[in-house]
Amino acid sequence: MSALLEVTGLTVRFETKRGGLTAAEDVSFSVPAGGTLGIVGESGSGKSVSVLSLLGLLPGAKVTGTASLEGKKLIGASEAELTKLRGDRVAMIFQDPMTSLDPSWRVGDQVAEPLRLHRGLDAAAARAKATALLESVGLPSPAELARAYPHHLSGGQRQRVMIAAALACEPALLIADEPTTALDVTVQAQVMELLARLQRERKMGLVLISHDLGLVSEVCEELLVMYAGQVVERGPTKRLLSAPRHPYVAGLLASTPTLEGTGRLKEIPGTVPDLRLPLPGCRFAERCPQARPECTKSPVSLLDEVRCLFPLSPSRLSHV
Amino acid sequence: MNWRSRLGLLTLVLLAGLTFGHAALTALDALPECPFGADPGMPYETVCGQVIGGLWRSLLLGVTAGAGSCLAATALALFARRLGGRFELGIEKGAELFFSIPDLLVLIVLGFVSRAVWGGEGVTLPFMIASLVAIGWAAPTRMVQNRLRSLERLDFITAAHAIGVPRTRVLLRHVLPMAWDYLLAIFLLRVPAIILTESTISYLGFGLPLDQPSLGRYLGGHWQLLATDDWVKVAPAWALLALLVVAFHQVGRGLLDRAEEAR
Repeated sequence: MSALLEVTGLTVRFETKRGGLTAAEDVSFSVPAGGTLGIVGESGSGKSVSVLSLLGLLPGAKVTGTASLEGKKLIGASEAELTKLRGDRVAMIFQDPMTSLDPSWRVGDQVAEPLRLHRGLDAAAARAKATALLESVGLPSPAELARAYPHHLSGGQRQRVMIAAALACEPALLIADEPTTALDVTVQAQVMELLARLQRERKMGLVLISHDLGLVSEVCEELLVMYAGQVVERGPTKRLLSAPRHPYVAGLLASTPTLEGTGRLKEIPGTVPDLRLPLPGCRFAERCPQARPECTKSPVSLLDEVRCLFPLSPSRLSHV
Repeated sequence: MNWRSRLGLLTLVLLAGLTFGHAALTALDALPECPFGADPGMPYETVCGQVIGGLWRSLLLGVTAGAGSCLAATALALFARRLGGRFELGIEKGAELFFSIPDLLVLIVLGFVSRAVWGGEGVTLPFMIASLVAIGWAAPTRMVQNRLRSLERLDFITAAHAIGVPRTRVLLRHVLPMAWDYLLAIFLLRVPAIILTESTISYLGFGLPLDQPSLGRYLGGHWQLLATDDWVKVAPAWALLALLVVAFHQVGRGLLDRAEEAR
């Protein structure tokens, strides 16, 4: 089966006045049609930058590598080609629903806009479809709500509006960048449930970006863990959670609270390295409990789904 | 809006009322006698008629040239943001270069050109307005350009790109509507600057003719009176010019603060 989204060797570089910065390096992954992929990492790990650059939403970034969506190439595509794809075949929802809706537009018009642009619907037809969409994302009295402005709505309602707008043209792939981070915990669960349900119903590909390993693992079949601009480990969610092979992933799991757990949570000592500085070896070496002198000598490549010279075997996990 | 802006707005309404009231009374032939007497340079005109006529001309050219330069600036800034790259850099550098040329010098040269081509004692009102637009586009262009640039960084603009809204439409339908308050503030701040520039150039005699004076030309034409007992004949013009400029500035300033706060 050919992949819905195929990304190989994606590198995103920014030229700043104080020198270049590689925000994401050699990122490769694929999402099958109807598949779910979670991209996990701390802020600054390059997870958002990677997907934003695919859609051409990072002005000023130098993007290299290859990427294709349903066989159409993304990197190197013209602005017009990308504009045609965005909102139609691939849609995106963002972290902060409070700021992601245009405050001067009625909610219904914002949901209707992709329909008018990509489907050529007239105002009345687009509005009717928008109202139906608002209902399908679980918003009460959608006809009334369509005439409201964003500031009339709560955060959870606004994120539902964003989802409705993203799904308007029934995209083959939905990218959700920290869709629940800015929401209350109870609303978070509702929005995640909604996303999972819509993904199943529409058999749509989903890329879910989050810093929350627990959240992502509930929805996604595959995981990709990023650290300091690189993919450190990827694989099926079950395997990755039960037997992580990269020490960073093991550390992340150890620092996640569980219901049964007692006592102090383990933390990963140290901080993320400065990406402006030259980093010759493994970027996690400085914080890694298993680091050996070889680790900092030369770049480590992603081998067998893990970027580590001395990956953990399941039996050694207890020592981390 | 703070009390200074409110007071400024009230002053502007009163000044506009004064010019319209004067015009209406003139048309009805019901004009009361002018307390300041006749214009010493033109005995058949009253000081009131000359000064209120000057106020009208100053107001008219300030508002139209202000609107013209702000419209030109908005159009240029939108083009710059849309086309980007070298075009945007060119507009930026062009504005910078233009900014370094003294306004008065350009206006004096333009005044000479007008007299050489069309003759007459001074330049016509439309020519003055066009000249003021021609020298006044640079500063607002840079301001609007920067404003658009910062508005384009807002999340909902990225979100608009993400649903496939083409760049031109993003600028016109999503970015520009957010800039209205700021554009209005820039316009209101341009007006007093333009009125002052024109007053200076006309005071020096390079602007409007004495029989069709702006406030600046009237003051320039009667500068000798300041040191005589007839100073009362120029005091109203000085007062109106100061009121006009300060009132516009206060309203514009208040609006700019509000626009900045809202972000």
